[in-house]
Amino acid sequence: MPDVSGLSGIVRDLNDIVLVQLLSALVLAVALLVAAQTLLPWIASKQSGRRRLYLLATLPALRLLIIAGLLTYSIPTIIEPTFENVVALLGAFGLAAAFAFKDYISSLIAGVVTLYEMPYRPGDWIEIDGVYGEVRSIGMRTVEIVTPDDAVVVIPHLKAWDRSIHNANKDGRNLMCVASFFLNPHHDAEQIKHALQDVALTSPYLQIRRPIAVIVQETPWATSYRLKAYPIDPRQQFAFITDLTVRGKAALIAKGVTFATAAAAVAADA
Amino acid sequence: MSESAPIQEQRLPLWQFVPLSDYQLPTAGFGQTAGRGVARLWRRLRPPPEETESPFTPHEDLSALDADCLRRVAPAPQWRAAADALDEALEPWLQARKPGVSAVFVVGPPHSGRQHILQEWAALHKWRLLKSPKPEQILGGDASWSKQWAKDETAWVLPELEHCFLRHVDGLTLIRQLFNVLGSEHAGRVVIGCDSWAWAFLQHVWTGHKPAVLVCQALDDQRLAQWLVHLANPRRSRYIFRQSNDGRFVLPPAFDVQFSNGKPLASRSYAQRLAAHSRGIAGVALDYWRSSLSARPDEAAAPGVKDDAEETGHFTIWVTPWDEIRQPSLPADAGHDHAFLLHALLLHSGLSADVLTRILPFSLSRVVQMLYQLEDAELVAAEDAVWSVSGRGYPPVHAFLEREGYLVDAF
Repeated sequence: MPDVSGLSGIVRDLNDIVLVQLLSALVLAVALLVAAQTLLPWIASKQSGRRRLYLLATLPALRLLIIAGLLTYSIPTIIEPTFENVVALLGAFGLAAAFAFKDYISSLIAGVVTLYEMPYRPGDWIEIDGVYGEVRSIGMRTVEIVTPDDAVVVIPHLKAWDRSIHNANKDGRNLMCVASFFLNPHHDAEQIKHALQDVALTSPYLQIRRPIAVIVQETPWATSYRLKAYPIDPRQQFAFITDLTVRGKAALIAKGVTFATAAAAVAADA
Repeated sequence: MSESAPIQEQRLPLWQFVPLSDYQLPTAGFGQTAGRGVARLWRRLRPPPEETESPFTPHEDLSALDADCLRRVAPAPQWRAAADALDEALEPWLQARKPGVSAVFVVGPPHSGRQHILQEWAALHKWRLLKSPKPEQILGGDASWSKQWAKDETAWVLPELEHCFLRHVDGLTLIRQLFNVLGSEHAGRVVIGCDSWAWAFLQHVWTGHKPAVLVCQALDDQRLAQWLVHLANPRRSRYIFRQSNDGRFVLPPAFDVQFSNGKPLASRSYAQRLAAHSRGIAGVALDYWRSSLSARPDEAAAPGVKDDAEETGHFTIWVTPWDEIRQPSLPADAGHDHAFLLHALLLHSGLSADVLTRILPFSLSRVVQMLYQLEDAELVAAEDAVWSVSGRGYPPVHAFLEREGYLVDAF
């Protein structure tokens, strides 16, 4: 038979009245939760724009408030609130919380290390865990990245602690862009290389103070050209690549060059 | 410059052509560089100026000068004196008996009168003046344009190199052919004028050895004041320019002026701030100057205004204080689209809307919309369907493009 004498010293004597009080509080809390989860979205659906979003955003906080109210009422009703009992309970909760918040605290510490080492700053374009975007803000626990599709991705600093971080424009406005072209091999490569350099030179997006490079590589199925240049503003990198690609294609077609395709490569292999 | 010494005794050479490395921008006074807040503090702390015997009452009913009066007070400049200065700078080169190609570039910022100076100089020496190709010829690589300078000519002048290319994949062929000829022994003697913005871009297009470059030195405050006074008083005109809020002389008078109530003091900072703000460019300074001139309403259309102090025959033109001049500024929503358009206009020293759509990634409607928006902001103006950055718009546009990281000129 387990010894429950210590436990009986913590827990009050739960008579019928106390049990009814506890049950009533529970029923009331559940009713409030159901009402909030039903009424609030219904009211929000009748609103529009920001008001609707604000109302929906209050639901989690309201839920937390109701649960906290229930616990605040129930715990002193069940537990004898002596100093020793409170210390014992807090110790147990603290141990549980330490395990639960282990990763959270690690992220906080990683955030402090990030502020010191500065692997990225707001305005940098970085890639972590396959997510590429512009750093919008750096919090204590997380970093917010806005992707090219305008999605906000929140990444805990802990994720970046043991992974590679690709920073495309660390601390500056210089971010290299690459436009690739794959051409059928039968053409004058020197002429195409100069044509692509002119494509970059005549782009209004070009940061002309940075170098322009064309890397030519021969592969079994095509001659690949990688046109590398820098835009004036890193935020225009996609418009810049689009501009290079569109005008580059037009310039190459005007020179009578044909583009390699996957089907052509397969046919060539066959 | 002394308040009492007539301008004629301290005449400075207005126009000087120097190597590019010797070009100097006029500096702003202490007040402008340290910020307006410090400038106000400085004005409070410095010793108070001497008071005239009778206090000056600012005129509150002034109106802008009409076109006729403006033509007299601030006429379009004549560039013959500048052409003479260029001739003096080119004299050693003209006298040198060096065989083969010999080219000199004359580079200048927008609104500096460079094209007119070269045209005057070509007329002076009776050298052939080459016309720039049309945009269709540039994009088509029209060989007929290159024939005019591919001959075995001894001397020719091309005043506007900036109109010989377009920032387009097909727009660099003709100018590269010209550069190849300049690098050979068959060009003869040539003087080529180029806008400073186009020159900055062409440094990345032209990879060969570049010939000598001359630039017209920027007008500092003293030379700018001298030039403006000379424009208004070429022969027997007797205009004086006084600040409308305190009566001070904005420019030193070109002749001895008698005042029964005591001679007004001189404002030393106006010319300094005008020279610095306009970057020492004559046309930009003249545009700002013209927009700040006014006269009393009943005399705004008259030949001049007689000073109320004494019948001396001189005419007073009232000048808006520098801090009260309305400066053009970029629209609040100006972004990279506007920057692209303004940069293209400066690189090519003016383009039509149709040509802008060929070199920019915008539709015609978008280009036209932005042009009218910038015109409302007084930043651009059109002449014969060719849009260019206006004189008054040039300083804010230059600052905007430089701030945004675009390629700017060295002036």
